[in-house]
Order: sequence, then structure tokens, then C-alpha cells
Amino acid sequence: MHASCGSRLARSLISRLTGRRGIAPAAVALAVLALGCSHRPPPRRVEIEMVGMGFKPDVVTLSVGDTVVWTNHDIVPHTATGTGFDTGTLAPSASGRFVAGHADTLDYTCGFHPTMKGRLIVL
Amino acid sequence: MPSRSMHRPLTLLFALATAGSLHAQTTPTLTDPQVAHVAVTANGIDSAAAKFALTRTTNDQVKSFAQTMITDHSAVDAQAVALVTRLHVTPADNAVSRSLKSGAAQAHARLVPLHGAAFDKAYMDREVAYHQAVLDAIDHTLIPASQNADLKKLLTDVRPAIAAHLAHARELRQSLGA
Repeated sequence: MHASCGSRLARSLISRLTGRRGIAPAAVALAVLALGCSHRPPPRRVEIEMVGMGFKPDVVTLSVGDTVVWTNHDIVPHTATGTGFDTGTLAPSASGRFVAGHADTLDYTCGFHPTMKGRLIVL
Repeated sequence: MPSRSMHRPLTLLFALATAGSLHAQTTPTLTDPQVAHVAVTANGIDSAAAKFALTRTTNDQVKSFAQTMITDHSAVDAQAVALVTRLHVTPADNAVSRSLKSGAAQAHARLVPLHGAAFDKAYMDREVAYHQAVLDAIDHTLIPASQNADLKKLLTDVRPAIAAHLAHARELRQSLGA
């Protein structure tokens, strides 16, 4: 929907509504925006490596709807465990994921190795 | 077949953890098969200590730490066994490995009579000292001594885990108080 902002269709809709019903153009434009005509980018896939007994990168900024994928490159198992999410045990070479559902700042650790710390900033 | 370098003798100074403390011991030679044996032995010693701790402690954090030691050292051991199998190398017993075992037996004997908080503190003290000693050995002896590239890589890959265990052990020991 974001690609249609300012499009001929949107302009036509606004024109027809304001012309027939006497509704202020600005109000109609706001209504169109509220229906989803925004500039929100498509969801991203963000990769975080578990390597050298750390999360790399350890701090990532996400948008709601983005997917985080952790992959264990160490030779021992890890988890990514925070409030409201837990990948479970990830063996070497295994991956786990989490979809950011709402705006928040989520600190997390490895359930086995508490010195491993990470943060997800969901905007 | 093992590479020729697997048998190159080396003169080393090896720092050992015995009875919860460090002391230096000079070893005349240490080949790659011997380095592999030291690594496997050191791994097994900490797993055994953790298994004993699980039978003794009632502290959830200490239990969790001990379980992690078993899980991680099992993973490392599997890697080590896979490597020596692939290289057709038989880890060779040596004076360093025997000294490690002797020190571990002494440390274990000191833990046996302890219970409760006294056991938890003594076990975590032992874990701090042991992981520091192993880390020093990896840095100053085992990695420099390893001639086979795969063996050197395994030790290099293990090092961050040992460092993380040490940091975890220190934090946990500190939380247990004096």
C-alpha cells in the first residue's frame, strides 16, 4: 500500500469524495492514510551471530514485524532468552527466530551463559 | 594418517591447576597427541567435578552452572573425539595429564566433606581457579605447542567458552559472599 501514496488512484478517490459529499480534502487524505497508506518499509530479516560466546551485533534496532534470526557459530549450545521470547537450545550451527510484535526494548541473555548479553530495540 | 608435525616434540612450561591453586611444572616434551590428551583430560575433569556438584548442591544457580559445564564440556569432547578420529591420532598420556588428574583428585577430596553454602563456595572457588589455569594453559602452552592446524583451531575455538565459564564462575562465586 505504501507504494500507492500520491498515486492517481488515491488522488482520484480524494477528489471524488470531496466533490460529491463536500468533505474537506484534508480530512479525506487523513482517512486514506489511516487505511494504510503509510511509508512503513516491508519487514526485514535481521541476522545475529552467536560467536565467540557473544551476540554479534549485541544491540540491534528493529521495526515491528521484523524477524530476528540467531545462528550459533560456537561449538557449545546457546539460547537467546528474554522477556516474552526464548529460542530454546540452539546446538552448534542451529538457528532460532523471533518476530518483533510490538515496540519495546528487550534485553536478553544466553540461558546457559549469562555473560552473553544482547538487546533488541523495537521501534 | 597423522601429519608428521603431530609428533614434533616441544619443550614447554605448563601451568597446572592442582588442589585449587596454580603452580608451574616443566615438562620435557609435549607432542600434538599429548596436547590432545591434555585437552581431553582437562575437559573430563571439569565434567566430573560438575557431576559431583549436582549430587551435592541445593543452590539453583550452582546447579545451573554445573549443568552448563557438563553440557559444554560434552560438546567440546565430542569435537575433540571427532578430530582425533578423523586424524587417526590416539591421544597420548603424559606427565601433564597425570598431574592434572592428581590435582583434580586432591581438589575432589577437599570437596567431599563439605555441604550447603560451604560446598557451593568451595566448588565455585575451584571452578574459578581451574578455568583460569586452563585458560592460561590454552594461551601459553596448548595453542602455541599445537603443530596440527585442526588441533590448533579446535583449541582456539574452545578458548572463548573457557573464558566465558571463568567469567560466569567469578560472578557466581562473588554472589555467594565471603
